[in-house]
Amino acid sequence: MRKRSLSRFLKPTQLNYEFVERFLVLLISVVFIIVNFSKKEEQRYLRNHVVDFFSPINIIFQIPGNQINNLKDWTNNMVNLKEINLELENKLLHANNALSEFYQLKVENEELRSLLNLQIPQTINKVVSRIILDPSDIHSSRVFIDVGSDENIQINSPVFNENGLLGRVIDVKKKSSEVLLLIDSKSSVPVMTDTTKIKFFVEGNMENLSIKHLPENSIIYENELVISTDVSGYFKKGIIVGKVVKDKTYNYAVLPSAKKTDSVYVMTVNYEDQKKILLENYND
Amino acid sequence: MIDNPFNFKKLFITSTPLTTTILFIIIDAVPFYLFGDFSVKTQLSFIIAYLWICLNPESIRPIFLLILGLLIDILNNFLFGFTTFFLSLVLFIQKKDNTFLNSLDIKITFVKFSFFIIFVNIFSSIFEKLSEIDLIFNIKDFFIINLVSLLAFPFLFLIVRYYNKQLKIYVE
Repeated sequence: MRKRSLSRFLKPTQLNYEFVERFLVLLISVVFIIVNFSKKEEQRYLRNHVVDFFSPINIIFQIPGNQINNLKDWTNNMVNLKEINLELENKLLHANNALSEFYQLKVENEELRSLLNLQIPQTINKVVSRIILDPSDIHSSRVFIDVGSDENIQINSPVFNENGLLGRVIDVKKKSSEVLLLIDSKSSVPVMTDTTKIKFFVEGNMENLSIKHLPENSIIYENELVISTDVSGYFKKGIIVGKVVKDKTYNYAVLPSAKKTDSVYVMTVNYEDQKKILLENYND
Repeated sequence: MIDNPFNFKKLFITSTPLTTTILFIIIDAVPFYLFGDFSVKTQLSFIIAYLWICLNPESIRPIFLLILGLLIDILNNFLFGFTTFFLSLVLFIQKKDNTFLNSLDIKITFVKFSFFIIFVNIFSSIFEKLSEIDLIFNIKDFFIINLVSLLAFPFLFLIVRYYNKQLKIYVE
């Protein structure tokens, strides 16, 4: 009887083929899950390659979403035209004041440079890119952008939008790059307060940024602006990170200024072009 | 008179289990950010694959389930093999008894799905925590993801049920 059932099991009928296929698939998935624990980096490498391969398709699928966003913005502008106009006028006034101040500082800076015989520092070449994939979930906050080694993007390049710093590039492929957002628990960024100039680190905690390595006896103030520093060598100094707030436990934390939801368009820095400009300046 | 062997509608209907799942995999992964600051991870591709298996276990071949599962894992930051493992389990259950997860009453199907999706998400979090001890979880997002999945279920159920009916007509 047992022999008969075994022979029935192995008999190459369509049903058995299907069962064997089903069983193999389950087995492969279990093997994958077990392998995950020891091959975390390889898993990430494979994932990033697949994302890079599919990046042109993702851009196509973004079109309807972008159109809806544009329509939403247009409707919002039409409804709040007066308020927006007033707000823009105020902003323009402030910007004009700041611009005249900056102009004076620029002239002063140039005069000082000529006195000290210093060369003009390289300008930053910003590269505009788009968020093409958002696999963020409850324990990680990462996005993929549509620029990669083809545009000379490098690991640790800062990624930011008009509101401030979003994160940094942690992996670069040909046409795409993986960006670790500031609120990810693995993100740690050197920063300083804008007014009191106190330097410390901010670490992501999936909601806002925890303050780490704050020097003893240093005082930071609520609503104080926090900006990036170039201590670690990969961040440009002065990108707005967020502002100091008190969290639920009444401890100081930093609320990031920029969010991925602000816009699918972000900016990053092209270091290769910076090098070229520097070399050109040197040759001149 | 020779019949045209290529029937586009038939091809479209018979491939809907695969095409709808792939479509929702992309929808899950592509950023839309339509609701201002509110952005949440959706699990539409997982739900649609689950529904296809529940309503018609013959609709997706296990090998395609492996490919789709891996694609979901890759594009949605899950552990490799995780989605395939759960979908394979659902397939085994449904092949044994087609009415185990699927019922004539949608409410019962919904309740069974609710338990399943919450179990899967808890299991996923445990696995992630085991693979990386330092991970921090956003509990608020966990509840929102489950809530969004439960809200999306009836709509996806209607879509799959409609195409499944069409599929059965063609198969018969």
